Amino acid sequence: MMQDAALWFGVVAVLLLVAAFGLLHRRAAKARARIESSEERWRSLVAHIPAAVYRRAPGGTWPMAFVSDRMGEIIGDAPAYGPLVADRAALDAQVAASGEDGFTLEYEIAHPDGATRWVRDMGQAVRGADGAILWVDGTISDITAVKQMEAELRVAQRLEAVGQLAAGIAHEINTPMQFVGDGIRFLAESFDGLDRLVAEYRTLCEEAAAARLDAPGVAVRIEDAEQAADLAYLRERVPAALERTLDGVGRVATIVAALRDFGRPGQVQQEPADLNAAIESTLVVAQSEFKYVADLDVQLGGLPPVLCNLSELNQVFLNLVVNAAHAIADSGKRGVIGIRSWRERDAVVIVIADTGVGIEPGLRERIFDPFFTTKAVGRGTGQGLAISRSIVVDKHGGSLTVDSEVGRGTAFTIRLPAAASGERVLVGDLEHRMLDAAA
Amino acid sequence: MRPISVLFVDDEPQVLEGLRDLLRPQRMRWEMRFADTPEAALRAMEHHPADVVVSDLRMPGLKGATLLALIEAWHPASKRIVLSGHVGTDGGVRAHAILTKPCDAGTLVRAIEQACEA
Repeated sequence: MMQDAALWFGVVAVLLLVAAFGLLHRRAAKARARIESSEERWRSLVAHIPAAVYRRAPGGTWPMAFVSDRMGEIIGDAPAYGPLVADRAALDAQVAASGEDGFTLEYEIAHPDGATRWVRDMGQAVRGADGAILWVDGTISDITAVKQMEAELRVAQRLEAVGQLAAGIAHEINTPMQFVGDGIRFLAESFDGLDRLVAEYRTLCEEAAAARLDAPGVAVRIEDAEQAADLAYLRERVPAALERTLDGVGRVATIVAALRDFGRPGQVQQEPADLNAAIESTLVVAQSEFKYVADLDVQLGGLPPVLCNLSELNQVFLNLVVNAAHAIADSGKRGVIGIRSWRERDAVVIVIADTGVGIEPGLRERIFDPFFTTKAVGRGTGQGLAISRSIVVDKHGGSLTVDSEVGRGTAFTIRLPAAASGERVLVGDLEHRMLDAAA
Repeated sequence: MRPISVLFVDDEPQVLEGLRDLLRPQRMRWEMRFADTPEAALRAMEHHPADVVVSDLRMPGLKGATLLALIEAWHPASKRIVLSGHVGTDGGVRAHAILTKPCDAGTLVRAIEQACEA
């Protein structure tokens, strides 16, 4: 009896164990399947996100500890991940400074196919309990097409800005053309008159030499001939006409030269340039926009040559000067466009201010948005300030800020870092050393 | 025959100087006056209305179109000619002739004479 009971107990125990193992096994299989399907989901997700996903290890060149397959498509060669960052110091600074929001960097990379590509690198530092960076997770996307479109948009806006000025520029050229033409015509007729007068003088000389003339008769004929040639008028007016004609030709030449600075569409390289001269050119090109509504107050300080894309900065100056003229025209009274430039320790500063209507506080945030405009149709498409900011900030590493008071006027300040200044190495470093020595 | 009285209006003194020299041969037939602001032109018209007014369009202060409209209202007998570097007019300009700078002497003289005959 006892043996039976023990036997039964054993059988039940075995059955229970088997059942338990079976249950555990099924659960484990399920869990494994779940993990596998989950991993498959993540893998699929990472593979299909339209950006390369990475995890970077801290330190050094921020080596990639993990990259998704798409990285190969974007940067071409997988082993080239190391030197992916064009400016390591920038990445170091960005990572160190990045908080909850992470960081965004845009830079160029050399693709193995020989092309240059633009990538946007958005990352987030993951920190341990002690605050030390454990790794950086992020994505890299190919923004080459966007960059190309932005460049095309900038060129299109420049052409639009100059195009809107075309009628005014034509007026500025046609006015001197009128008095140059009139002057040349007057000078040609004057020469004809003087030529006839000289011929008469010669005849008189010959007749006098032949002793056929009495002095009073000569005087009368000279008087008549000089009046016929309008000599007194010509002697008074011809020098002025010559001066005026040359002045008019000079004015046309100045306008054409200034326009030429705006024309260069293909300037890609940054070259050292004189920004004060660029401002003067802008004022020549834009004069028909402001000269009927505003006076100029221009005080340009000594600036070092600035390494920049001059036709792009010209576009910025033109946008700001034309906006200033429009703001003054809208105020309904004649105003002043004030322009200042000066050099600060490590920056070149240019301020373009007007005494126009000013910008409502609520709109100041939006004026730099693409296609935002308060202007009537035909006076602007709302790209001017957006592109100006893009040129100054993205392309030249500077800043473009606005200060405005409704009814008083507006001032835009362009600040370009001395890092973009061609003289930096010579003067900037020397200054630093002198300051260090003094300290 | 009484000389034609012509008033030229332009904010560029150099344009007026050029016209003065250019039209010197007409001095026996025309009495010419020159005004370098629309306001000066209106004063000149008040004093002695001209038979023909030749005016620029783009000037500081009073616009050329406004000047011509005022002359039309106040001195309807005076003929009005536009001589402007502006390509096309801004619309709303009523004139007997519209000439574009640069304009040669022959065209200008014919336009003034035709306006007088009209």
